[in-house]
Amino acid sequence: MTWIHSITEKTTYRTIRNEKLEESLCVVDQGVRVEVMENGFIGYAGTQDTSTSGIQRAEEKARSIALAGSHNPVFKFSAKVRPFAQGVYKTPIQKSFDAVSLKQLMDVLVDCSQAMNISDKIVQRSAGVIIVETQIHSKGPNGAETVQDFSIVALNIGATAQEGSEVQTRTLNGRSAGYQIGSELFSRHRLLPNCETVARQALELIEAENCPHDKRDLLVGPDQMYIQIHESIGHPLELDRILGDERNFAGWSFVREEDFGKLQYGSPLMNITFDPTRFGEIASYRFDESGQEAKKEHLIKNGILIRALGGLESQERSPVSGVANFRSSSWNRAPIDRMANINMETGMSTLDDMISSMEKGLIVHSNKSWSIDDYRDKFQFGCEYGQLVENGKITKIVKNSNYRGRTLDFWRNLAQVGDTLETYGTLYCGKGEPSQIIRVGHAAPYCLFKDIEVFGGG
Amino acid sequence: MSWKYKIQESFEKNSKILFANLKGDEEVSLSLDAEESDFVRFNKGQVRQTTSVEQAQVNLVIQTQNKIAKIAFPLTGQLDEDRKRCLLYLGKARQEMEMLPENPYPIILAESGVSQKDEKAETPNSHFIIDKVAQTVHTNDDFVGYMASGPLIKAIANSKGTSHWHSSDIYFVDYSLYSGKQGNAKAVTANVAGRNWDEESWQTSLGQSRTFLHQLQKPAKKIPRGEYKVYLAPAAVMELKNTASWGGFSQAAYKQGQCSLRLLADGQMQLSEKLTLIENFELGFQPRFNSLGEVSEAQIPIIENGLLKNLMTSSKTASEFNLKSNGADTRETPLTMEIKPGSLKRDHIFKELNTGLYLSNLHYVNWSDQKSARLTGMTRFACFWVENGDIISPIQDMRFDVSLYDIWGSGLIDLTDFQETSVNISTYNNREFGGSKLPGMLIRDFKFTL
Repeated sequence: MTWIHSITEKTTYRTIRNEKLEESLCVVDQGVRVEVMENGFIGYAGTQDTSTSGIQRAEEKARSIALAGSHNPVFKFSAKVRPFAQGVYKTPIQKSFDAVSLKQLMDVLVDCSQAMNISDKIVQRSAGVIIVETQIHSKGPNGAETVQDFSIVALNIGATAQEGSEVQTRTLNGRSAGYQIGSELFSRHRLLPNCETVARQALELIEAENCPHDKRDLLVGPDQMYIQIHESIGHPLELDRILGDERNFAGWSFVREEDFGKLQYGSPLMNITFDPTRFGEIASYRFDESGQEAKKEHLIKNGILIRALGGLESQERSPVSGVANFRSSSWNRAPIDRMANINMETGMSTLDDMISSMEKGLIVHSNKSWSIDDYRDKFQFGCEYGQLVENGKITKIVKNSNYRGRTLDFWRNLAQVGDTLETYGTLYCGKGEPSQIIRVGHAAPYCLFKDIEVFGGG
Repeated sequence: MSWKYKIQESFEKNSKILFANLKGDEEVSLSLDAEESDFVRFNKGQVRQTTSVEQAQVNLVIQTQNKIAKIAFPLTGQLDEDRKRCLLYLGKARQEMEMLPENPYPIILAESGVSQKDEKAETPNSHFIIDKVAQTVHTNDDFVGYMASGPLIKAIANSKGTSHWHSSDIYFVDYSLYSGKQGNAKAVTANVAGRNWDEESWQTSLGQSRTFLHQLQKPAKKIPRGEYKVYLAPAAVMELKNTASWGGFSQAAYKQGQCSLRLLADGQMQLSEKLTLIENFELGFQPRFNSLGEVSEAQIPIIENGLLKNLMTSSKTASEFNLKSNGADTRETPLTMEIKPGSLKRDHIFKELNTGLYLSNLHYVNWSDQKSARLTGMTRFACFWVENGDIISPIQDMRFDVSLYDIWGSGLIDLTDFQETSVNISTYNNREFGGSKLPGMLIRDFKFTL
């Protein structure tokens, strides 16, 4: 059996720094991945020669290496790992990218840069966008055919303030401002107020005290929650990691197959979903690359681990339930289990309620540093912008806000969950051998955690 | 004709056609990154996935006196199709150039002559490595990892007549051996690399890994937080070097306030006199020409006896800040770094460590505080607690948070008198040239926090 995935992608990088052109690059990629199953093993061959002869040659290669692999496979798969699929997906957008000329876009970015020019102490002002337009056209046996078109924008807006030897950078959402969206995002009305806030907060940071080193309540903003979810929930729940495929590179997982249905991952307030159907989130799609149709599923419900991030191949290898998440970075890589959109469902608390409830606390916004071990247990995160809370009130801004902990302890200390979801996403999640970078989305509300070790710089 | 030579013919012929179509004061640089790769992925000594990839990307930079545009597009190896693409994207780049703001930092395209290097070899293919692993890896090795193999190409041609071609047939197998169940497993990691398959290196590597893994079989000791004397094996030093290279040695990062070694660059801090870092093209890992055709010096000292000598400076940064480029590409990261050796002999490592931690590998290292050049990360794979020069037990993984000014400064006791060479095994989007030659390091007061 043979499947063919034709992938075209145009990625443009436009950046203005200090009101001048910093970067403009357009990358056009086009290729075909041919997949051939022989004796229950799938071989993959990718080529940019999309002529009939080029695709035939790729098919011969894929067949040859599928046969070779089938002599000593990890698992002999059934045809069920490639279900019949037909349908289309297109990012719902209000305005196409063609509706804004390159000159108009660069003018908006110049204005964003200028909007951050509020003080001589703002020494660097950077306003950039990455626009990704991707089409994945997949064909399989018996007329199976899907076409999925994606429109994606990631914003990179940041201001660096300097006074003497003190230098602080504040960005818009820690570089996590990535969405499936059209050119409606490039409106001055939408962007300029954010730019001014970024610059003002950079100035606040160079005047701020260092974050204290102690244990206290930690209120994590949605643009930091996105990486907390990503590193300490998303990756450890990937079923191919649990099955050991990633042990040489990205790592294994503290989660075992027998933990599903039993493990108290977090407090009962913790509800985590896999949801590629969510409007505007960066990793939304209708079908994964096996052809499985995506739907929203709970991974963790009321704190209990119930489902893994495993596509149909991992599901054949394991008794654990999975999702439609078998994805590749492009035509030149084989699909593996990836995250897509992994979200924290909302709770009942307002932001004001959560702040009022904190006797001694820290609010953190926008990730700038991240690290976790290969089993996804011991983590440390750094954030751009911190606010101290004393007796229910925000009292001061602090710089170099860091915290660390262990995954299960941390999530079991989840005390309150906000009632409003914010959506973020990144283009850059790395995994796999050979390695792949893929886009992942994470929507989350503010969340309050008790007794977390926080610390500053220096 | 092989795919590699089809790509070479297409790039050379079509670049000339493209240059012949330039108008007025237009100048163009075309760089090529290409590979013909076999990837085979293993888990538990069996094959998980096999992938074959042919890919070639041309990066076109067009500039006039005050404008610039950049477009990258794929080559197929079919002459006519690629000619159409070259002319199509030349036209698109011109259109973009018209609409873009002025280029504030114009650069002069290099006139650096012509060179050609074609390192041919019989690299292992998918069939070979599948058979080899089946024949030589034991059932109880629990072998996991992958092979990447085949021709790797980097080339540049520009309208000033510069033309450089470098192709190299190379492979690596990057692997780990595991023992024990999830949650209580022990593991070692290693890689072998070369041009033609080297059976002796393969067998030696597997044998050493099995021996190392055997030494890990005692229960893992939990070490409390605190400061310990450590020995970092060259593979662990590489993790620190990789993160330090992420903006730490970039001129643009320094000028824009983002350089994590800013205090070193300003002369306010210094590192140990024992520490010398060189961007060393003589190691043979990396072509000396960059994507604009500029050719670097054979060696660029970065840190010499603890003092910063050079930051990696691209021609764009040089133009902006009125400096001299040293041939760095736009990312301004070292690509072929050597850290000079010290005097610690291999046989004396455990004796000199005496009581502390032997760390073979580190994991997920990231800056935790830029101003103080602080790094956090984890221990990984074969790491041991050592007392009085004897290995006592493996350890449970620990998180560290340390400043380079400490561990490469007053805390650096010595470097080994031997170095280990490693090829670049990064395969994000594409395989890459590059590598390193690094010693081990003996360090006091290495701080662990979790």
